[in-house]
Amino acid sequence: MGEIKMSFFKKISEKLAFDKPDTRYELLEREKGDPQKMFGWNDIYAQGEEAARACPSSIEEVEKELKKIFRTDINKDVIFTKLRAGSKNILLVHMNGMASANTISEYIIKPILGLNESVCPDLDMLSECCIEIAEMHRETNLIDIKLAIMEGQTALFLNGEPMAIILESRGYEKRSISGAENEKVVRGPKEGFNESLRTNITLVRRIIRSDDLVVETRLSGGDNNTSIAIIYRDGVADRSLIDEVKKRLARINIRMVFSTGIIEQLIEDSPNSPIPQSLATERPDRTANYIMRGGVAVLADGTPFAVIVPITFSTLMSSSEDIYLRKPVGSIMRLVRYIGAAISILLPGYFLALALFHQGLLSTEVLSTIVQSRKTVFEPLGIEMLLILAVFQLIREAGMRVPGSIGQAIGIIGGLIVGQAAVAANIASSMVLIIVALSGLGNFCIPDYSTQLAASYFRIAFMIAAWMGGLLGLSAAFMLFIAYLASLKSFGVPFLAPYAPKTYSKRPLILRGSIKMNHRSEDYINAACDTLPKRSTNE
Amino acid sequence: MNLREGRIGKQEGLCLAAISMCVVGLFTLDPDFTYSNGNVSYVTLAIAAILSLLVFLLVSACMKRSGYEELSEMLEDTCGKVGRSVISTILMLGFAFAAYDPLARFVQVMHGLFFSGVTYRMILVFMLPSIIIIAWMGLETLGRTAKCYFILLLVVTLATVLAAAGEYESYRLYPILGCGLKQGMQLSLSETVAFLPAFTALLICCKGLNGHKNMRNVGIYAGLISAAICAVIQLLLGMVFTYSELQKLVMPLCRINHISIDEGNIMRLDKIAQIFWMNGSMLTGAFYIYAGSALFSRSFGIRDIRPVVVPVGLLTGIFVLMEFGGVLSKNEWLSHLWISAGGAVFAVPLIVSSLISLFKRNENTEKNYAKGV
Amino acid sequence: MQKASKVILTLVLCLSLLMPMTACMNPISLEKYGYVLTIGVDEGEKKKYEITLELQRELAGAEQNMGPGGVILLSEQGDTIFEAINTLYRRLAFDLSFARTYAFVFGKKIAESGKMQDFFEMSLEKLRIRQSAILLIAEGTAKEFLGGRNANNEANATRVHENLLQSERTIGETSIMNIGTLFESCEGRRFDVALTYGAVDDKIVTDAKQQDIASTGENPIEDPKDKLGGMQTHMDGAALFDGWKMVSKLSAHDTQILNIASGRFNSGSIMMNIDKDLQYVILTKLADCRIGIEMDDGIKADINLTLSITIEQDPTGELGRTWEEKGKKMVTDYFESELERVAKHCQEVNSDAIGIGRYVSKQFNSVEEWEAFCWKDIYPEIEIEFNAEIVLGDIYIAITRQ
Repeated sequence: MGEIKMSFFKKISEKLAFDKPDTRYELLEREKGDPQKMFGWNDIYAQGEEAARACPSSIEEVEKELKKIFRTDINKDVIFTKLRAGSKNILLVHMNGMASANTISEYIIKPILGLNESVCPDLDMLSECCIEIAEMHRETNLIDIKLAIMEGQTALFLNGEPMAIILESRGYEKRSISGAENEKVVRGPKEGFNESLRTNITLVRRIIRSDDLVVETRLSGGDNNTSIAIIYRDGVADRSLIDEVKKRLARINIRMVFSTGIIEQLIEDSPNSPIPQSLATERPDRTANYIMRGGVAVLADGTPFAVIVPITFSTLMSSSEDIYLRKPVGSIMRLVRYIGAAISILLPGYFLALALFHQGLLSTEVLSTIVQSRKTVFEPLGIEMLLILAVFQLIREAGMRVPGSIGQAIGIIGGLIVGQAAVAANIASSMVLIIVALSGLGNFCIPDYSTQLAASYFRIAFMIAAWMGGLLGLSAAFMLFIAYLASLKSFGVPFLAPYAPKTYSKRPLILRGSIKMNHRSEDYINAACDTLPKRSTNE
Repeated sequence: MNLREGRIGKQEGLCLAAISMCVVGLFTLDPDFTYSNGNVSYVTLAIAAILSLLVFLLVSACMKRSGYEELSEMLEDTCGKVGRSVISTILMLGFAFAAYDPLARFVQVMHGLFFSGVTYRMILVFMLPSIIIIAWMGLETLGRTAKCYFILLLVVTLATVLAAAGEYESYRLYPILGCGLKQGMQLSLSETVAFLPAFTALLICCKGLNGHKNMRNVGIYAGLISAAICAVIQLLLGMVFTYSELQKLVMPLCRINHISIDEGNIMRLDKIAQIFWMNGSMLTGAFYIYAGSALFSRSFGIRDIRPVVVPVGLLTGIFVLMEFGGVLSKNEWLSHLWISAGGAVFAVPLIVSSLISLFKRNENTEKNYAKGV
Repeated sequence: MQKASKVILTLVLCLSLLMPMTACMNPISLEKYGYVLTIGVDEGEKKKYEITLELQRELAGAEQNMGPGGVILLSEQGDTIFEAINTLYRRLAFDLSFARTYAFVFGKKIAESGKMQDFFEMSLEKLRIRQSAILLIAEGTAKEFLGGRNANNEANATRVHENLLQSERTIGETSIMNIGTLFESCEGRRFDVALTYGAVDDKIVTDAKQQDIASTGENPIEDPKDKLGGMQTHMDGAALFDGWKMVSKLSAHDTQILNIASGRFNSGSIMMNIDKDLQYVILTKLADCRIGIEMDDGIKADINLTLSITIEQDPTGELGRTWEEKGKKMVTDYFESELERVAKHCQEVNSDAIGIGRYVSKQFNSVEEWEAFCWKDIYPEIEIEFNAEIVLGDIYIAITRQ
């Protein structure tokens, strides 16, 4: 009987897949030693890419192959240029618009054409004595050559050589460096990332001029072959974290990856969670700050946002400006931010709970005022609150989508006129308007955009919980919310660290720590401690 | 930092255990039984905590000495597989009952204070799923949630007792220790039911607390902190209500600000405190359900506790419904038995098992000595 | 298989989260309630009680749809408060909420008959009335008292009530106690309560009435004998209780003395009548009050008080100038004699309003002994001795006056 019971339990467990160990967190220490070896970072073939193709020696064959690959019968973007270099034939292939025609003409074609007819060049001679391009490398794999051409580089084939020289000739139009539109600060740098991966890497390198800064680039894994880069400090960032990031990036195998937003969803622990487990920022200084502390940043070509992992809740609630201000002022700002976030999420639900179930907690004057204001409102309080929240969201979305100054005007019009009209038309009461407005203002105190959006939806959930069960429902929902936050992890790092679990970090959670602590890396991401080099006492 | 999956640190374990002990110690004492012969609960609770701590330390020492990593291992080794299964089932039921107790009290208070127009079942429907979900999420979530709530609960409790500062009068404590030594000891033994389930849960989660040493430290700190908090709060309650009033009050801490004459609108916010304490009782329930499920599943070879959490949680809910459906009130002997001897359900098997293990050799003992654990 | 299990689990989770949605917790929006501020209890003619409820109407405000504000009074008879409320519901367009009730007013007859115990047998929890609700005894009926208090049609009754209590607390001419204290006194049997006593004077022409009459163009002073302005009710001392039953009434002055004796006095002006024509006004502050009990040969209570005084009115000018020689003794003797008089009166009516029983209970070591000890039987026979230490606070002004 006992065996039957146990086998019954086992069957249920197997069916519901309870028995399988959770393999999401290979980042973590194991009782038996180091994490499992990740498969190759550069092993893009694991993602279903094409097998390697050897480069033919003959440039006619190369031309034929490449024309077939690029479908030049219908695709006129790829330019094939045949030249005579001394006594040999050369084929140049580049993508129109992606490569800079001036660079190709001045620094590649002109020197090649300047060669004497009697000269019999080889690739070494061309690369070392002739071509005036600083960055070049050789490729034997036709697939890699193809990718390089698609990136805007120029491939040079020499007849008889089974390889190509890839010459840096990227010259596509890109947006210049401008300010970070969504993370404005009063004090602090005004630069933001743009859509060029190279520019973005440069922006980070300008801030971190350290020899341990490593930038590893690869393709994203989508069919559109976007370049991505991961940036970290070798010897500071935890090795298993870096391996885990690479491993998750290597697993990406979808049709299109053209933004870090997509990458973020593909590598996070809980992509279906409304709360992000990585930080998306368009500020190089913020990116550099987290890299210096032991984090890992992922950049992608074509998007001005960097994704930083791992993060905690306090990361999402901190702004880049905190560190540029003085400690008391920065601490107060942070405190206001947390209070604003709490107001944003809890105030509508709290008000609803008091108004529907716990009137005794309100003073008689407040009760009488609310009763007065709601005398002629025809809908129930819960519906009224939901309606005004929905209108608020509409105004917010409309203000963002409508361009230019009209967008700002919509916010003012929506807030003042619609609100006043709603009160006059007895659709809403003034108290509810105030509550929703305060809640909205509190929402905008949250620095991270994704977290803002998540908070605005959580507030509705809390509101419904309060509507159903008063403070009992609200507190049960709040407890579940805290438990949910406690269960989240960002690359193995608990979301509520360093508070729960308590770690060795001396940096305060809510208030801003001393600027002298800034050199300390974070214990909860297992980064190397005290990243400043030791100074001698004689200095 | 050590980021091992399914493990919690000392602070989280401490918060979890302390919340459980304080909630049960402050809110679930039977008033008639506790205060019928004066108010000595501020002494008896502290003694009960110390007694429970001694039992915990005994079991912990035996586990470490014999090299058991979990309580179920010790039970199997000392009582055999059948004995382990029986004891695990009894303890699981004990945990379900221990989880029901604070839950039922708070359902009653919520009904009385806020929702008198609805049935108890309706109130339970809000609390029970949350408890089951939190227990389902595992020890890490439990521990971290408890860590977040511990400070909140401390602040709220402190604010409550400070707000009533104007009402404390020492004459209400008299006759001090008026019930006599014999009755005092009897009360202390019966009040171990407030602390022993939490200590037993710590023993079950030994591995989750990263080993014997951490578990022992967590138990000691949690026991001492809970003893201090319960004793102080009971003393303050005794200075607000005489024993004859306390006999008629279900949760006197919820009413400590009700008698203040200088009442403003801020005093009425003590209802928010009650809501937070209710959350504490939910965490307690989740912890006990988790511990009971963990022991049961390990004893019966179920690798994952999640399929056991739901039935144990539902069992807790059934106990609550039985209370408000009149079943338990008709069979008062059950609740009286639990009040007077509930601690024995946990203490007896633990002590017996520990004593047996003291006389038994375990081959893991040599390994542990070699490792230096 | 894993996907199917995840789908099943998600469904189970959603169902369990949806379960609370099915629970109808009976929410009622706050505008559907009338908020009862005070409950008045009198003897009913046809039923056991007549219940009068004071409700706050909406406050006057800036918005155009707000009314003039004020309170409304409802009354109904019933054998219990629930019966009266249920009867009231039939003619009300809203529910009644007792969550903001801060006071009970009992008519004198109810208080003297001891029916307050019967009234409080009902559970306050059902009405969600806090035990912090204060208790008042009205000289006539509670209905008259509440009517008189609201004759001015104040917009914010809560504010009026708070202001009244605050001023009374400052003066110390009444004793403010709440339901919790009453329950403690009756169940703990260590002291008796002295509740606020309120009186009605309907000869007062209220502000509202003056304005009404003046607005018609008439002279608001109809009868020169009328008193003008303010409320028609006032606090007039305290009602002494023996358990649940009112046994006596103290004047405002005697209530001040009682408060001093029991240690509840904060500060206030006391009229010191030494002779018929000589009346001194002394601002008194109770610095310390200690009660010592001796139980050797009968029970003796020594009450040692330290009072810090400032002379506000000195008709002869001698009190301050001759303070050390005779002024101090005069004031000390006065206070001691007044304290003894009030204490004796309390003993005569068997009301331990001073609270000596609290200190007597400290002499017992076991609950059985205390339970067997009948304090209220012994209380009238005990010896109470007062020792007042008077400290003149403001010497400079006293000496330089006149």
